[in-house]
Amino acid sequence: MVPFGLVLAAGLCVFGVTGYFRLSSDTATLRRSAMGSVGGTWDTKIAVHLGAMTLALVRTGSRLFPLPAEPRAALETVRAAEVGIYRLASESICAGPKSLLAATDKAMAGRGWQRVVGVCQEQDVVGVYVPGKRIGLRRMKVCVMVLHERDLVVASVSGNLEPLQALVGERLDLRSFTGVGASDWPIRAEAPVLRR
Amino acid sequence: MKRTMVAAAFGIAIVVLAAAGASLRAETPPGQVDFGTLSTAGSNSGFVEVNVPASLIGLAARFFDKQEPDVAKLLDGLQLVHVSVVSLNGQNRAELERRAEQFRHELETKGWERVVKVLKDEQDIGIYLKTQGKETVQGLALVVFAGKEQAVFANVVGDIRPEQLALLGERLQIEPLKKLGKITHNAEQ
Repeated sequence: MVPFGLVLAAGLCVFGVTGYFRLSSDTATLRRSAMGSVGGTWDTKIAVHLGAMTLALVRTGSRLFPLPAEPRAALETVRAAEVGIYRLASESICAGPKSLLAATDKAMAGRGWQRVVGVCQEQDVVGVYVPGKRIGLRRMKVCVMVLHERDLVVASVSGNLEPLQALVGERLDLRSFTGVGASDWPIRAEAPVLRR
Repeated sequence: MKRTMVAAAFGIAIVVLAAAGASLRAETPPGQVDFGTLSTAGSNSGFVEVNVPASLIGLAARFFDKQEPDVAKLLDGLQLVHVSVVSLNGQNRAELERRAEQFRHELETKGWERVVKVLKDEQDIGIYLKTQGKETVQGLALVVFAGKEQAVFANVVGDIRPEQLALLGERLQIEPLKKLGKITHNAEQ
């Protein structure tokens, strides 16, 4: 008779290890809707998920070594990250890249996400999604989908942006801005170059 | 019986108030423009859409509040930044020109004021402001045809002025807004 504790520990170990190869539900939804829209059969090239515990270990370990400020801030910022890369094995039955974005928009909206960036160029599509609510400096999550020819990449990153904010605050150089500022171009409400 | 009736009336009142609150929240701000789904115009045209909601703008503002309080204040006054860039081709040019004309007409009939009109080097730029009184800007809309290659439709909801567009584009890393700000600036000069 195998002790219950041993079975539980083994089960948790298996769950923990397979967790490295399982995407979170939001990213999986993005992947499913994209694949469903494009159609055909897909081969998984890689699917990796680094969760909060793993990245906490990496952060703790990295503190033992001297690191430049930028990679240190990046490590401190990222709390979970995952990526899945898939390749279309058969012919696509997709109506077009725009219908792909429409499908992923609908699926993600159902989970409370909204698209902030959408790019469509020939057969390449990019969609960037953020949660509609509950985001802040300490809690930020982004999901990205990229379809390039026959390759589909879905990824998500969640993190605490405060370390990054501190770095930006230290490094921000006001003189680097060369655009047109408010002081450069005083508004003239009724002074068009040419009016009809 | 009477107690049941009172409870039911109270429940109905709560539901009605909640529905009214939800409809008020869902109301479109006066400075917001619905450009529709521009990306569907022309089956083979490329497009870029950027849609930055208030939550993300607020987040960006937090990055600047200590070093650049003016930028943070500008960002805090915004509720939405939407930019659509559509590549023009033989299939969609006429449709987009028709829609642009429709938007211009709608904006002017809905109390938007055209503050900049540029027709130069095949560029057709129109910038519109929605204001409340003399001081408060509720929104800014742009309809731009940049040569024969691209059409740009943009809407910034909140207190912003045309001369701040490039700054906003720079800080939110929205390239079309940066370019538009510079183009309008150069044309003005």
